[in-house]
Amino acid sequence: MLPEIEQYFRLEKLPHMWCPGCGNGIVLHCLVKAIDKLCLDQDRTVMVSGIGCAARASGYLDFDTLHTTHGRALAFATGVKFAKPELNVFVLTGDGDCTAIGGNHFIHAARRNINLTTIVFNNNIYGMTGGQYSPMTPNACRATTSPYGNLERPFNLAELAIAAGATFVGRATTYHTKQLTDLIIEGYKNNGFSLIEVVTHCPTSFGRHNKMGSPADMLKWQRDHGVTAMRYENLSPEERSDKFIVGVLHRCEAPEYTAEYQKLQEKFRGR
Amino acid sequence: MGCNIVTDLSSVPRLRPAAVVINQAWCKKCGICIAFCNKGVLAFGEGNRVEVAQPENCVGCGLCENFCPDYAINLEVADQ
Ligand SMILES: Cc1ncc(C[n+]2csc(CCOP(=O)(O)OP(=O)(O)O)c2C)c(N)n1
Ligand code: SF4
Ligand code: SF4
Ligand code: SF4
Ligand SMILES: [Mg+2]
Repeated sequence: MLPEIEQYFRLEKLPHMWCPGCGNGIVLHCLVKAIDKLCLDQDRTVMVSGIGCAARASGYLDFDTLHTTHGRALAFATGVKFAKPELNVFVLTGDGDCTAIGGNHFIHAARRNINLTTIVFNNNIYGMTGGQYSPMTPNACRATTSPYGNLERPFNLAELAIAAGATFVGRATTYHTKQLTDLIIEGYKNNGFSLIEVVTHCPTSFGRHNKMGSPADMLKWQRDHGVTAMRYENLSPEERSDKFIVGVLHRCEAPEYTAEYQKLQEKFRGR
Repeated sequence: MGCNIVTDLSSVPRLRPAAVVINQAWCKKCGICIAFCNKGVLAFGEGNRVEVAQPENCVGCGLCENFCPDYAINLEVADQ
């Protein structure tokens, strides 16, 4: 570890519990780089996570952290932000945590446009519990609960967030580390609900079932399948079929929930 | 309170010469750094220990540090 980022970690908790080559460590690295660039005060920054491998992230970070219950990170984060809007609140959640059990919290946090920066570690699987398919597991992929291939269609989480009302939506991968760091910075700066979907790799529970090779091979797969919007535009429909866009996907303006609430309070206090 | 200037790809300062240091206590031998080093600096040694096999080839690009999921790599700028 580089000395300049040591201050953001609970060093005594390292090495982390993630498997060899797991992408979660790279996501966390990009998060602390973004926080360092933003010069955020560690004592005024809160990390809220749910349950799962990804959600263990909060335990390694030296901020005020809240490791909550499965699917409820956004609910707890909403409470923190509502009570203390001056705090910077980040939500660290897995694809299962966020889109299965926590799916309802997700759409309503987006709909309210509450100022939270939500980072979804999308490894397309329930990693922690041994590899059951999640609502983000691609169709036909193998999981312990879909040994013959997943029958279901996955969510397009970015589109779901946009439809629900999120005001900043971006996607990166654990290969696209600079883009990921920049997206976290942009997401933080957005005064409203920001979703950053990170396509990350779970060599143990997803890669192994789907013959994706070593952790390095999974990173190379991300490099070859995550493309910029400009490149995507120029691809044929066949070429597009296995590609996804990385970068900023959506940005718009809408009233922010806690600011609206403050206005309401001031209106009645002023009487 | 830190407000450090970090470089884009990696948090390593783009300075040469760099010494690659592996923290063996944190390394999980995943092989990512070896696969992504374009200069063949790193290699698996005995017991899959990651060794800095060709230190003279290192260009200080920081890719290994950037992709190491376990923060087990540090690039040190040698004293001039
Ligand atoms: C209420 C409840 N239901 C189920 C579980 C079991 N459980 C723990 S983690 C998890 C899924 C985690 O998947 P994801 O959010 O994608 O995280 P990952 O481990 O892949 O990072 C489940 C179902 C639980 N802890 N609590
Ligand atoms: S099971 Fe998958 S997501 Fe969980 S630590 Fe291992 S590689 Fe990472
Ligand atoms: S990337 Fe990090 S954990 Fe993986 S082998 Fe290299 S030094 Fe070890
Ligand atoms: S800094 Fe670059 S050249 Fe040097 S060991 Fe790391 S990846 Fe290889
Ligand atoms: Mg998952």
